[in-house]
Formats: sequence, structure tokens, C-alpha cells
Amino acid sequence: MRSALFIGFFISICTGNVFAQNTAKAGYFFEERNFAKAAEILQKVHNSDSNSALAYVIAECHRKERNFQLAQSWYKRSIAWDEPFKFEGYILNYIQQGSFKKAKDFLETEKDNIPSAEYQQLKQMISNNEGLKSKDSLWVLAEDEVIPIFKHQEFAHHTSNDVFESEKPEFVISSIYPDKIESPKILRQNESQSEDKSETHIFGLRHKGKNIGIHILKDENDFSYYVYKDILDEFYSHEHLDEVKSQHASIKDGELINVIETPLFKNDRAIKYPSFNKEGTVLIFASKELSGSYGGYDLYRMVWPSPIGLTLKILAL
Amino acid sequence: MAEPNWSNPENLGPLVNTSSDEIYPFIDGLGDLYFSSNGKVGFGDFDVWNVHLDSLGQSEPKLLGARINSSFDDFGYIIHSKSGLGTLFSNRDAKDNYAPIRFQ
Repeated sequence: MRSALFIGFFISICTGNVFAQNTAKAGYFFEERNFAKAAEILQKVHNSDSNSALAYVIAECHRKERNFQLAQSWYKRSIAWDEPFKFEGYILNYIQQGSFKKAKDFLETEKDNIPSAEYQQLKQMISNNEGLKSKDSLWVLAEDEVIPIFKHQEFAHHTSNDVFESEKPEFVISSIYPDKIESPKILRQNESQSEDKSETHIFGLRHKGKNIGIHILKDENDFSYYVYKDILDEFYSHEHLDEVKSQHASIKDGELINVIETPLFKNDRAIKYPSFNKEGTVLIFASKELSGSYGGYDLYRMVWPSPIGLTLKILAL
Repeated sequence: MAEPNWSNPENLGPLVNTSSDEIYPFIDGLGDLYFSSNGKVGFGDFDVWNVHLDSLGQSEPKLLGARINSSFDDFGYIIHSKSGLGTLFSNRDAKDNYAPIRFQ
């Protein structure tokens, strides 16, 4: 995973032969997210011939290591050069310590040195974070704790690259991969309707006219959940997956309405992390193999033509 | 009348995408798009940003606060808009261990 900002810095630093070898090495450690090592190397090569960008990268390394005091001292060195300076890191260093007043004061002090669009952006950044407690207000789930939203025991594994790069096919209809859902619960249509009459959105997977899984999003409940039945091993092959259809529909007053076909990506490595809006009319996904990319994984959008409401097929449950 | 069909994939453009990676998009019930990027200036490597679907191509995505983002990798953000319950994955507590974090 590369960070364009710092690659840029390293390229600019590497133009001098004196620094080239060590900054390249530091760049490697930065890429590896070993920020302490990167900072250590860069500090060794830092001297009076260095530039603002080098000091800034050192500062960023320390900030990412949460050595905020050290980071600040390097930001100060960086800003002392008569060169263009990026202010985000300096301000983020304050924000991450919860020092919003200092962040604001610094921004006001430097206001005349900051382009107005960037100034507004930085001001907004402080405002967005103000009032929030920093880092430790979150807690990590215990291993055996069920994530209440999705009842998804293997969620951690779902996010690992190992899973994404595995040879298992991906029944993808949303941002969750059903082959990773444990203990699928069976819920039939009449059960889903019995609790409330609110509009429900549903994604369905079908194979040769048979439902093999559904995903229900209920507006009024506290959580969304997935319901799958009979996802069999036989479907773990490209041959069968090609026959799988995905549909989206809404259930209102017991009726299926607005049924539409949705794109279903079957182990397509060009498509990652698809996510639909609740109406099933907008799909956002990531890809690094489509045209028009800005580099790395980019996000793309596909849209179902508006207005929706044409009943194409009925999703028989 | 021809049956409607999905549009061709459209790149979300430079306000969202960078020369690095934008991954893990998630659309909540209110139409807010959340995603992680390591190409924008944030708290750490991967940070979580959001922009409403209606504002794509017009507004800069906003960096979520320090409560959500850390100096390390933060991604896989999912939130249920009505309850405010959500999860994300982060290695903020151990560099080599990506753990789920729940928040409200």
C-alpha cells in the first residue's frame, strides 16, 4: 500500500545524491509502516543541507508513532525553512492530542501563510474533530463477542487480504461475503413480515430459479442481518456461479415491489468491496483494473436508471 | 420499451480517488458513503472518510474524527444509521493484528 503524499516527498528528497540511498531505505520502511525505523534513518541523514520536506516526513513518522512532542519539534524545524509547508500534519498532531485550542491558535497564527482554500479545509478539519475524545474512547471486541449488527462471527477474517485473495468464490451482493457467515439462520418471507409492516429491502441470490440466500435490510430494526439457506459446497465453483442471479426488491405490506436485477460479481478480481445503497439502485465498488483509474484501487459507481419501480421479475421465496 | 440496465462503471473522480488506494466503500441507510484511503492526508495510513452520494463529484469527502481514525490503519467502517452502532477494523492496538472495533 502506497501513500502518494510521502512518495512525493521521498522523490523530492531523493534528487540529491547525498541523501538518495538512505532516503530510499527510509522510504521502504515507511511503506512497511515501520515509522520508527524510517524516522531513525532520516534523522541520521538530516543536516543543514536538508529541506523542509525531509523534516516534515520525519515529523509525520513521529506523529504516526504517537510521539507527538517529538513530531512537533520536527514540524517546527520544517516550517522554519523558507519553503512551501504543508500544515495538515502540524494540525493533526494537535488534534490527535485533543488540543483543539492549540490547533486553532496555530491555524490563526499561520493564516496569512496558507492559501485560503487550504485554510478553510484545515478549519473544517478541526471543527469536524472538536468535541470528540481521542483514540481510546473505542474498545476492541473480545474474540467470542458477536458483532451485534451483522451477527457475523468471522468478520475479522472477512477483512483480511488472505480471504480476499483466496480461491474461494465470492457470492458478493453487498459488503459482506456470505461464505464467511457462520450458522446461517433461516427466515422465511412470512416470518420477516410478521414483526412489522415497515418497508424492507431485500437482496436475493438465485440459482436456476432456486433461492440460495437472501440479505434483508430492515429499516426499523436495530440491525441489519443476513439470512442464508443451503449455500452448498457445489456452488463453490465458477461453473455454477455463472448461473447465479442476484436481485433486489422491497417488501411493503407483504408485497414484493421494485424488483431489479443487481450486478453479481463472481470471484471477479477486478471488483472488490461492493456496497449497495439500501434501495439497491446505487452500487459503489473498488477496482484497480478498470480504465480511468487514478492509481491503486479507485472507487467506482454504477447506477440503476431512475425512476425505479419497473417490476422485471418476481423474487419467489 | 428496452429494459433498463445498470450504467457502466463510472470513476468517482479526483475528489474521492487518489494515486493510492481507496477501498472498503460502505453506504449507510441515509446515503452516506464511507470509504478508507491511504492517499489522503489523515491521521494514519488508511483513514475513514465520508461523503454523501448526492455530493459525489461536488464536495470534498470529510475525514472522520479522531474517535474513529487512528495513527494506524482504519478501514471496513460500517454503521447502522438509526442505532448509531457500527464497526471498523484497526491495528491501533497492535500493528500486526487487525481487530474489530465497535462504536456507538
